[in-house]
Amino acid sequence: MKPGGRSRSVFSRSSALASFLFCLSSLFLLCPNICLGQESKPTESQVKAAYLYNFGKFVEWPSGRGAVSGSFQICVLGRDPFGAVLDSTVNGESVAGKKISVQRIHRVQDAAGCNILFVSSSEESHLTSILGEARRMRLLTVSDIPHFAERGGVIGLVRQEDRIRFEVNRSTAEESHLLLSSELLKVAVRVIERKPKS
Amino acid sequence: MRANRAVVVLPKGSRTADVVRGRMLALLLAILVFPFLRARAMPAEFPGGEEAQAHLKDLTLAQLGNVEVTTASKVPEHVWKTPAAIYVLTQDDIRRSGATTIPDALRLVPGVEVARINSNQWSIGIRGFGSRLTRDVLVLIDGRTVYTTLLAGTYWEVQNLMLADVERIEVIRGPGGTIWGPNAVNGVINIITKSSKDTHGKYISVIGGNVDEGMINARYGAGNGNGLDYRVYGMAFDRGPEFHPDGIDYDRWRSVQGGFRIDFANGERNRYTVQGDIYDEGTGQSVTATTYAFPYQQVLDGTARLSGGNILARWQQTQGQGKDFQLQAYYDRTNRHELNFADLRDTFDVDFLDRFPLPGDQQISWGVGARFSHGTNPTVVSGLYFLPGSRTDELYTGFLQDDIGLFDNRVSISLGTKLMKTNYTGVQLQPSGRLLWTPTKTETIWGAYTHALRTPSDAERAFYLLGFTGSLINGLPFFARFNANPNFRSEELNGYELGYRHLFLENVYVDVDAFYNHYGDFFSEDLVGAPFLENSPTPPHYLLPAQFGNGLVGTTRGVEFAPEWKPMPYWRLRASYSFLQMQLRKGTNSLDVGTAGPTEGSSPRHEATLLSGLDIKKAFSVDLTFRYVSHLPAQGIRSYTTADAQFTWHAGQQFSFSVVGQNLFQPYHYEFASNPGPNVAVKRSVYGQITWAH
Repeated sequence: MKPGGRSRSVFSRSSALASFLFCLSSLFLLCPNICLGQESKPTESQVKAAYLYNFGKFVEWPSGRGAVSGSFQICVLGRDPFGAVLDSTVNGESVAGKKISVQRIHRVQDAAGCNILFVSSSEESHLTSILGEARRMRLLTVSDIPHFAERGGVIGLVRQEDRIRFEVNRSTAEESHLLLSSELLKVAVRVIERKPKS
Repeated sequence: MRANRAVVVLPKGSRTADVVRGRMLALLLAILVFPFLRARAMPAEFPGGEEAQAHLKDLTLAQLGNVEVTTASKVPEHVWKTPAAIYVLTQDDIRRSGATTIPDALRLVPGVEVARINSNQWSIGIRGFGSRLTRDVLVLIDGRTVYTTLLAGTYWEVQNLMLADVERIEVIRGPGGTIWGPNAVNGVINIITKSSKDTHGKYISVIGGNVDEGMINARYGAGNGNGLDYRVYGMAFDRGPEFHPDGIDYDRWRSVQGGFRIDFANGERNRYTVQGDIYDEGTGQSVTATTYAFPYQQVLDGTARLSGGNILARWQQTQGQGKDFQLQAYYDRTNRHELNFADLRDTFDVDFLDRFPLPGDQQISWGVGARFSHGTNPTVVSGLYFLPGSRTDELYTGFLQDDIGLFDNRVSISLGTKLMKTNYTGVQLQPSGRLLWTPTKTETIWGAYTHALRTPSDAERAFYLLGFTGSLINGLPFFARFNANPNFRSEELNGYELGYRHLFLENVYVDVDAFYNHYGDFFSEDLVGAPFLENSPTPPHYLLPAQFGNGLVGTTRGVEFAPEWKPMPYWRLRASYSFLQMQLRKGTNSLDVGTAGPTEGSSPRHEATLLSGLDIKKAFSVDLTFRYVSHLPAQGIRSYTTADAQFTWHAGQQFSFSVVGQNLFQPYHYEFASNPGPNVAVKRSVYGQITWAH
């Protein structure tokens, strides 16, 4: 190989290109303010938080639930994917006449006062025991764990292309003594009527 | 060592190169510093975040389902919890890379060394030891092992897929012997295609360019809405030669391929998949043919005919209570007609995997598997043959692993081992112990010890390879020959790893991994005797006898650093730097002729990448990739820096148009040595792509 002889032509030709790329890159750095007319899309967490808030309105809650604290509790079990987003979504809102509060818990046993239980994907490895506990405690379980509704959760959030939709397991809801509104069932991309085999 | 200082270093010695270097550094600085300035100027959340949230919660459920969301820069959960150096290339990453082949897509993965040998061959290594086939990296496509036991390694040129149907490529750096089986010594490349549930509709993509001269991908997918989904696809391409200084453009690559996938879900418990592919291709090659008779050695330029097919069936059952199992079987046919040898091969494989929980946050995984690979190797040239010419390679595996969660699952311990036996070895163990600690919600620390094995292949145990070294004064030819070594053992690795992941502020993610690997019984090329006059095969000749042995020992150590940052919802920056130090030496009593140096000098000590992915409104995306690879002294390859760029216009729902430039910084550059003949350089290339999906 004769690298010396070659490199000259290599770089003189590439220098125009490099300049071009450099200018282009610089443009991107300035771009956000100037050229992106801001139609930025919300994040997944924001939409999921909005769902969590909304679901509460489409369920007839068994009486007495949450009476202890007097608030409507949305609990996040495991590693919290929402951060401040969930808190800001429900801030000042209420469901069934009760003010919504958000709790972060690490064990399903701590979910006794909850209405909605969001199961973080960090808990997937022991999902079955969580769901068994949650049915007993009559919680509306929601999660984005794959096949959550199939596996015995009440509402599974699923991503379809760039959109977030949800699946409902009606049998689990009944078992948990939760009455889901027809609108919720109508909008679900899938309604599962079977019980997960236990 | 010179390259330690900066992430991107260009070769010195030319004024223009310095200018380019200056610009590169300025760009890097700008990229690193600028957003911090911006961050002061405006809130870190995307503009209007609060209002958008307020707006979102007032939507009806139906409206919420129609809101498009961005993809967070967050790593997938299963990656987060994996106590191994794992990196996932998503469909989006692959599409935005502009790669037209899987090897080119792998260039984006930290710690993976991808070097193009010519238009249809690569050297792909993980943590060192890259070569044409790379014997210590295991490659799987949808659970089918594509690593060949003939010459130990992966023929990448026959691992083609319609890239739009790839869901993700998971790359595990470091040993994965316990779960993945033999030959997962330095890493595993696990290619997973989309479920046919996710590929409904028609899709056609056409590419035309100066090197990727023509490529067409077409797919049709549908489902009956009741659990049954399917797709069929076809693809064909014609890839031109790379740059040959001697003008002998032997490496054209043409291929046609088709396939299907059917997924059927019977309720939520059972899922069935049947899939298959069939291909036929011609790969231009230049090889040495050595013969006992005159002219003893020839260079052959021509086209290798490679064809084959596979069919795979899988049954997965989720039983609930953390119990599930999977049963999989496949058949693979390979016809490889190279100019100097042939391999006709039938492989049958069956695997069973089962998981169930035990009290106390324990999860047991176990499995068994068997593989039979029957190959026939008719001799094409007399100096390259297998004895016996027809063999069956057998592999029997079993594994058991226990994942134990402690302290509220903040700490998890995985203990397990693989048991395996091949036709060339007795029962061997590949144990591992892994520890994962999640001190806070946004941090994980893991460590691992693994013992992994590369099992003997036909290349060591049944292979005879003749090399011509010259004619003696008396006119007799003088050869050296690697004879089959019936005593070749498994190569062994004891690997020690540490890793740390941290998610800062929801949009900055850092992954650092360090490793120390100790190799024993490592592959060597041994001289086993003095030259002697051999009369058979005729004509009489002098022969220096040699064989492949287990004569080397050594260590590798290194660090991989891969930060990722999403300064804006529409802008994603990723970088990676990997450092590798290899030290091999002859073991005691080794007869190795000097394999250590060439092996050490064939992997880059430093590699760095910088990737920028930007969406401009919904309609445009711009992707830039910078790559630096340090020199390979044993290959005579200098360090290089180059860049790729892709501009895409999404014109409405159905059409998109892309222009992709690859290897832009120079008309051509060298990445790996090729033999015989002068090295082949990778050309600057440009292609346009039109995609229609409906």
